Amino acid sequence: MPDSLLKSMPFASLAKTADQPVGCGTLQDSWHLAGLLRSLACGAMLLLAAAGCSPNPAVEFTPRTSTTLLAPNARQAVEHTLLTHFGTPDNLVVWDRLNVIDFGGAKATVESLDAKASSSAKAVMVVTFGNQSDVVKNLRVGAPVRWISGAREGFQGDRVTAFDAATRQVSIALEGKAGSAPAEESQEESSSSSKPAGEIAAGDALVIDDGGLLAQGRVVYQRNCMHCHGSTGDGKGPTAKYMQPPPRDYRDGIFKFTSTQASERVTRDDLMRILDDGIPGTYMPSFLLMDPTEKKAVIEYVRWLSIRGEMEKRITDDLGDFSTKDLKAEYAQGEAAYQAALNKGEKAEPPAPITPAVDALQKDFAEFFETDYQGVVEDTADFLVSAWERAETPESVITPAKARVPDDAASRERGRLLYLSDKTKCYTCHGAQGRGDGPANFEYWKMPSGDGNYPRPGLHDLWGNLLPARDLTRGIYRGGRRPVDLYRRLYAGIKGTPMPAFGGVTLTDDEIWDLVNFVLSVEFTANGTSLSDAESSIKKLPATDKAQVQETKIEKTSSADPATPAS
Amino acid sequence: MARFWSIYFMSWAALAVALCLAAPSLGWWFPDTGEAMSSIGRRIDGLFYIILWITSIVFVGTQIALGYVLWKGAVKPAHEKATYSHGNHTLEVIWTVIPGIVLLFIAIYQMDVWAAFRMRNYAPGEIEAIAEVTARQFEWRIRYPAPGKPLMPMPQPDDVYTVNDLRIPVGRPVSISLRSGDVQHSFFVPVLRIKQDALPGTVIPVWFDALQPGSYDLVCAELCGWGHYKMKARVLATSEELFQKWKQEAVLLQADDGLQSASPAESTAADQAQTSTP
Amino acid sequence: MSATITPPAVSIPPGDEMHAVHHQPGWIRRYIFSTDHKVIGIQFLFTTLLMLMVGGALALGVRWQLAWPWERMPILGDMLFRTDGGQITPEAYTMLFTMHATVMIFLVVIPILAGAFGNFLIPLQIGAEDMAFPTLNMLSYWFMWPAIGCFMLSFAYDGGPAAGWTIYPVLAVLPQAAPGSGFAQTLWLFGLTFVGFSSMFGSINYMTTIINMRAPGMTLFRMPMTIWGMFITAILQAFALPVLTAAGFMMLADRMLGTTFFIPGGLVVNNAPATVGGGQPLMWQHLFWFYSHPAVYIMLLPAMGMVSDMLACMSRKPLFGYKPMIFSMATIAGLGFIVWGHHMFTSGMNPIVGMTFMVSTILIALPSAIKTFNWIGTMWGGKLQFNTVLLNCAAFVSMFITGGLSGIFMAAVPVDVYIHDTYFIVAHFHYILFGSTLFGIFAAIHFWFPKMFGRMMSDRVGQIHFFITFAAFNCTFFPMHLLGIGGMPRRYADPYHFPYLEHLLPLNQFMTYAAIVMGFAQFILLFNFGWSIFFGKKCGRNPWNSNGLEWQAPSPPPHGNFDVQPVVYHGPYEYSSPVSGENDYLPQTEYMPRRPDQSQGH
Repeated sequence: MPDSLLKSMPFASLAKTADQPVGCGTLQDSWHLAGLLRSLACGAMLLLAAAGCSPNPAVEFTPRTSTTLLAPNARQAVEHTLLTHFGTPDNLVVWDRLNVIDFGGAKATVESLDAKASSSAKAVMVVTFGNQSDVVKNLRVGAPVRWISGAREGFQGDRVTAFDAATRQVSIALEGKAGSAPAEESQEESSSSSKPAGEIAAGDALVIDDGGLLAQGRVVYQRNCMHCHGSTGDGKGPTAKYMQPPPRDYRDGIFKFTSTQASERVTRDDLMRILDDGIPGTYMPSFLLMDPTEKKAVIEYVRWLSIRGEMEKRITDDLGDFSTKDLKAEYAQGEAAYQAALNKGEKAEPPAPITPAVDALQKDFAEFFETDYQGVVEDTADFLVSAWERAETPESVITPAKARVPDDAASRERGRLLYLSDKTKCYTCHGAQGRGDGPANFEYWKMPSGDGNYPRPGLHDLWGNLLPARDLTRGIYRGGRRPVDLYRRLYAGIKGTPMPAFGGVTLTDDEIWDLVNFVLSVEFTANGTSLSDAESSIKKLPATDKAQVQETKIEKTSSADPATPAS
Repeated sequence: MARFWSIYFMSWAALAVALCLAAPSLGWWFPDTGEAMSSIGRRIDGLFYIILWITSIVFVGTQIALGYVLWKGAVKPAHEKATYSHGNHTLEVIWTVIPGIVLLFIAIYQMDVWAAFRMRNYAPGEIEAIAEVTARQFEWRIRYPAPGKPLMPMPQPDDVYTVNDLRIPVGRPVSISLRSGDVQHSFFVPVLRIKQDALPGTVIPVWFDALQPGSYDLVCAELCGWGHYKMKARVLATSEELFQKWKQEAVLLQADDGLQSASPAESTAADQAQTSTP
Repeated sequence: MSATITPPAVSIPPGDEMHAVHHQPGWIRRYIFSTDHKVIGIQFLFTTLLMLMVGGALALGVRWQLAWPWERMPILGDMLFRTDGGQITPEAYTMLFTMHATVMIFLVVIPILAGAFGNFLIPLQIGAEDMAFPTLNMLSYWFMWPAIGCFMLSFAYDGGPAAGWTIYPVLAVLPQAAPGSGFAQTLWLFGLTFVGFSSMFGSINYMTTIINMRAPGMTLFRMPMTIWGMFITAILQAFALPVLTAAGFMMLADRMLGTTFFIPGGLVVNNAPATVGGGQPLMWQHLFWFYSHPAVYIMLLPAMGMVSDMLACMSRKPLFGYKPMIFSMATIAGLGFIVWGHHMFTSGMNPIVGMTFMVSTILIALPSAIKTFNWIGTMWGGKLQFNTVLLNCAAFVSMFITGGLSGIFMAAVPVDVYIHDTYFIVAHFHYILFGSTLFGIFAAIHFWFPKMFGRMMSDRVGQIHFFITFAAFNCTFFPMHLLGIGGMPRRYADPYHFPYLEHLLPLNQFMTYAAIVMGFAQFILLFNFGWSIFFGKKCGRNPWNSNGLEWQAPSPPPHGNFDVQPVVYHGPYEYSSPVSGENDYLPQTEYMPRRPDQSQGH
């Protein structure tokens, strides 16, 4: 610390003033004042410095538990892979392999280079854009440029310094000298940077404002979504613990309320619909009035987070052999037994340390890394890209083969019988009266991981959260209340939950429509609204009396025999 | 130093007045155009400006008086003693009666606006509710009756639902049934100058009108939890004709069975037409 | 002062002299569990100043979020939300403003007025040797600590209570309704109850002391305004507080025993089972504001009284209209009981009732106006001593005018419909509670500091503190009126979600800079305070040449206060009296011959 700063430290000046005789003279008074002010100023500066010097926390992607349980070098490899291909929230990486993500930016080709205006630090050129007119409109100065062909391919750090939309003339500040690109970038980039980089030529392809949409999505996400869904999209943001149901964990690539087939991913339209309508009955609010570009950007970001998360999950699962989970569990068991024995006063051996076993795993992984690891990464990427690509195709979206069966009493009655039949077994979860109180909600269920039963009785979703069956009498349909929404819930089930898919195999289209008609009517029969078609809502009726009547009727029915309802 | 302090006190008041005078031109005034878009809102604004004038005069007067007595104290010769006075009955009476009259005027003058706002006009029986607005954490869920039907207290099978999007016809008083699904919220449309708490367990009729078509922000004004600021919604005022047309479209959209869907492109076009009218 | 005047004989009750000889208790009984009103008062002062820093820090957190929403918040964000880049969560924001209000109201303003200055000044100014119930007095201080403990502990549960200081049901009653409505809210209610006990003990004590223990000759209308302020406050508290305590217990019962005073049936919050019950949330608002509106006056009247005293002394002039001042104060207090509904104009209360409350609310402006004019009248023609005390008092008057006038907007029901729960109301009550009360408190600290510690605070540093605080205060709070007119609601973690509020961001940033300056300026006060306790200029009994009885006691007064039993001959405002000869003041203990031309007085 410099001497001058030490001298001006508050306690130094305090010590001095304390030595002075304390009196009432003006002179001394003003001297105190000076010392006081100086020490105050220094104190404030030191405080600010202390606050400013402490490392600023940054938004982070947090690893999965299963990743952290891998052998150290395996974990390192996975984290390195993710860092290379996805980056950090503050430094997003555009990975070309993920062509299912719209990273933003405008693809362009160099039409002609203005050699006169160009220099070694600046290139001026006329470019031709693809047909991304809105991106071109929003092009900003300072936007990053990435070359995808030509001599500068692979270089990063070039930036737009001027742009004229009318003449399509772009000025680009060239970052450093060709060939001096940092070698510790990703593998692909380092390989390309070893090539001698040449001059820009007509016909070179480039992306202007590369990753711009994703970056915008990140900003929107961090402002609106992160405190619930978490920076990684793991549904574990700081607010998440107060919510029932908990926010979605994107990292499995599974979204509940989709329009796609049971095995397919989610579409952009589905996500847009969730943003617009929210999820009724949960804390997912409606972002209807958010700026459309922002909505688009945040959807891309969520899809990207989801792919990133699933990438990590799949690679980690593939590296299951290198997990120290069992070793650690075994050691913990041994340690517990040892402690118990010690407490009883018995002689016991402490469990063997797990370090040698972990070292062996590390050694194995080192071999695996040389031979197979890159293949695992490639395969996972291929799989994910094809899965997300397929989701956007029309074939993956469920479209009913037949129009809705007219919503009349007969249809609803058929639906009711289906509801109570053993073919669908709806009542086992949703209850005979649709109140979401079926017996399945009170039973113990096995965990999918095979570690025995869930600690609490009741249905659970894929993420291990308690998930009571929907109370149909409340008239709240989380995936939307349009008939087609309910049709899709019944056809493909709800992903990640015990709600099964009935479409195609168990039920015919007509049967599904009957069931939809019945489910949509439960709210009103339970609440006492007459459903006798036409004049239903005109009649003024004291709702409560009617409700009781209806309820007792249903109760009698269901208590007699749920499978064979009375007419 | 004493003179400096008296100027200091005067200057803050002067700055405050200057800021208030400059505020409308800087945009720091009533939202949007600064003009209320409902008939009752305009009366509220009128009342606001009357009170603003009265209080401004009093503010300037008292601050000048304060600054003046401080200045007089500052320039008083050192040898002079303070005036020995325990008060003045006449003055006391004057400055009791004059504010009394002014306050009485404010009290009586506003009664009419309040009565018009909440008591006299459009009692619930006279005007039918066009929608039920249910505030919940953290959104506004809105239920309209099917075209041509009245709003029923309980949900009906053919009701139309929207979220965060209240559509009203322009130019006539409308009423909504305000409810809360969970905690207390408050229905606040700044440009229409309307605010009413949504009280759990109570259905409160709220009536208002929109003088011009447009999209007006609807916000929550009563703390309702962590997402209080997220209850972003709009009141979309359109012509009667467009309102009815939209409702028809909404009925079709809501009955979408995946095959005979009403074309969404058309309805968004209608939306844009509606929002861009003002 | 002239020796020729012989005071008339006043009979001193036998036995009073004996009290002058008190035995000195041990260190702990003297400084920690002391029953001496002065020690208790100073304990209150230290505690509340500490809490002022806590509340101020919370306020800066709120301002930070409004100026730089969702950016890294120093300290709090760094500590709690590291993986989110130090960005706080909305429920942390609700906790911040809830606890800011709680700390400022219940742990700063109310206890510093009644607890610190009430305790210290009441016996000294009425010539008593201590409070009527010294042990109860001690308890009133020590009940503060469980309250502070509860409030501070509540931070540890689910990030602290987050239902606002008004804890409206259903949000505050159902644990599932908000992150902070769990155990933190229960602790908060316990804290409130403890604060209530503390205030209640105090107010009983003050009433008894003021009624029974005045020095000989100290008639009610010779009492200084401070005492009147404290007396009326004590009455307000004694009548209003039980309502809040009862309501608090009802809410505790709702939370812990399963009653449903405030919970209507059929609410589904956070997917918990629907509530069952027939309660009425509006009832809480009635009960709460029945206390909390008078509480506004509890937070103001003592400051009004103290400022009246200080203004008269610093103007070297009798208080203008002593009796009208008292009567207007009493009127404010009386009307304070029938205006609570003006907090509820938009709540769904019957609109006709709203009309009634509007009239009573507007009425309350009248006595306030009288007081303002009288303060200005007091300074009129005075020989103003431009020191820290006078400056802070003048600031009190100036801010009270502003806060009072913005109150007229709120009193007009239709206008209130628009302004209710926007930043306009935030500006209004900060002008009253901070602008008026806190500047009054700053003045009082500087004024009575010599009596508390026997040393003077540095006036120069005090003026610097005032200069910065006053400017920064107005820069922080005056623009809030404009935010409110712009329709910016209170308690928004991120108002800029709404396009119509986006343009207010620069204004908010300016206010935050001002607030940070203001926050740091308070270190000047603390420094001056701490420094002067040990190194301030020593002072005699009466450094301000003031008339009050407290200035006749040694500085600091010993246990038992007065070395000579004071006898009062006239009111406390005989400054610059023609009969006082050379001096421009005439202590209450000195005889003043009645003059035939005296217009008003005892």
